[in-house]
Amino acid sequence: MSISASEPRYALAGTIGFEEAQEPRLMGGQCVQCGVKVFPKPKICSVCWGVEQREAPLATRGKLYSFSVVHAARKGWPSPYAIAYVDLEDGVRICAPLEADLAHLPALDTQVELVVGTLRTDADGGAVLSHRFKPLQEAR
Amino acid sequence: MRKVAVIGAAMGRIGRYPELMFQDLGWPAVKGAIEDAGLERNDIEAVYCGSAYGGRLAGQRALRPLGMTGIPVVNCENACSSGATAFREAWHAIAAGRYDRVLVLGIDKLSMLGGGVLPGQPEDWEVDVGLTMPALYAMRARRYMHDFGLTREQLSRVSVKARRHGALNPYAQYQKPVTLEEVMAARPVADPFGLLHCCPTGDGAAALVLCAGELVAQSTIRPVWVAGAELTSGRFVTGFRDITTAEITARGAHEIYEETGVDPQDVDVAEVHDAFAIAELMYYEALGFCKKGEAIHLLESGATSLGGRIPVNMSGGLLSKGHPVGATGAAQIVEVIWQLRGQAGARQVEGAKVGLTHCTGGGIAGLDHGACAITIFKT
Repeated sequence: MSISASEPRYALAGTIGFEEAQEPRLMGGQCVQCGVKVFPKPKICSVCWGVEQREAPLATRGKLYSFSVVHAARKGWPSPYAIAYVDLEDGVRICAPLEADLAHLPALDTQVELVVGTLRTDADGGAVLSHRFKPLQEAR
Repeated sequence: MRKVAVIGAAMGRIGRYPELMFQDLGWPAVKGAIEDAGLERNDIEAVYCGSAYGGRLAGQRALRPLGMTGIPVVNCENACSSGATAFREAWHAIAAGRYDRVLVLGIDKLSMLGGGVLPGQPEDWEVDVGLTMPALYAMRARRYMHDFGLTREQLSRVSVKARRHGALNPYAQYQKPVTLEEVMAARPVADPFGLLHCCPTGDGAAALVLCAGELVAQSTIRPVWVAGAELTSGRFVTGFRDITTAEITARGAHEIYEETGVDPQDVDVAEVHDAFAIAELMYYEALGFCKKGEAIHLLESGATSLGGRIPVNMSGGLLSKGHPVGATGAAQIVEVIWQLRGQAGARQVEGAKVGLTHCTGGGIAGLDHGACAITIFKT
């Protein structure tokens, strides 16, 4: 699997990589010394102070820990939108926009999976992309 | 360490005063606290000023109109705990023997930021993908509701209680009670929160005069003793953590109860950091007023209302009294000083002898909160 560098219009630079089949991956850091995974990739490991961090594709699935539908947003953010904490299968908690039908909100602990989509538009009208999570579709 | 007492306390009514200059918001509280202590400005040896959004030299700007500069002024920023941090540093400076009489000022003017939600922490990745302060607490609320069966109607009772007590406080930003129906129907801010589950933004200043124990006899006012003042910061956790537990508050509470020998059962009146309705419930538990998951029963029993076993937020709390961020810690202390002196008017807790203030906040990714300051006072 090769991971390419991210494009500039991501809300968090360098956090989205793509597998060869073009499936997006959320990129965190893993400490070379002690193995702890953190998102986003830090310059130093807060646990062991190791300064060598490798880029680590994080699990693409996790559980919906909690979320809120934001109606009072900051200036420039379209609302309402849903924001969540997702607990990934590899032990990392991610704050992420939740892609869900706001009229039929998912239950907590629902399985969710990574997608990449538009977060908001910047001052000159361009789309700013970020990681997002959406409830996993049941097998039909 | 020397004993330290609070001998002066003053604040103005919290509200939105966009026409008032920052300095003119501040000096009346300073003058009021010094006069309350029966002192003159030259008696004050140093000033500790807490402000979160006031910018540079907040203390000097508030003191200049009174001609009170020329002494050490220490400006403290610790988000919502700025004023309480300033108090703790002032207390410690006297306890350690550096000064005898010190003034603490907490001040912020949030109306200069415009309306709406507060700006997010710069360079915080959670903020960059859309997290707001109300949404952070709303996620705590949703998880708490899921784990402990709390309903939105029960959550709304926190706001009803806050506004009921705030209506008795002439210093509160909101002095009108609200009904459960009004709380439930208020416009949505961050689901499950509506507007009345969230504290307002406002402008305010509160000041206190602290004095070394051996000089207290020279003062005519009845002293209130500082039993302890605890400050801590949130621990950075890289993995999962339970956001229904207020980790930083529980740890700080444990430390101050150890340090002072005061038990949660000994507390007669408390001001806690109810920036959002769920917070008051989480802090009952973290401060040891009840067991985990039982906070709503404590509130519904009336124990935390006026006349109850452990009245909390008689000022109306942040939800009703208002939350001028950096001033809040000092304003909470002013309220508890008035309560322990028996000067709290219609919201007076009869016979209160032990008071606690709790201030925490500052959203920062990976930490429960940025800072937490807890102070215990005795008559």
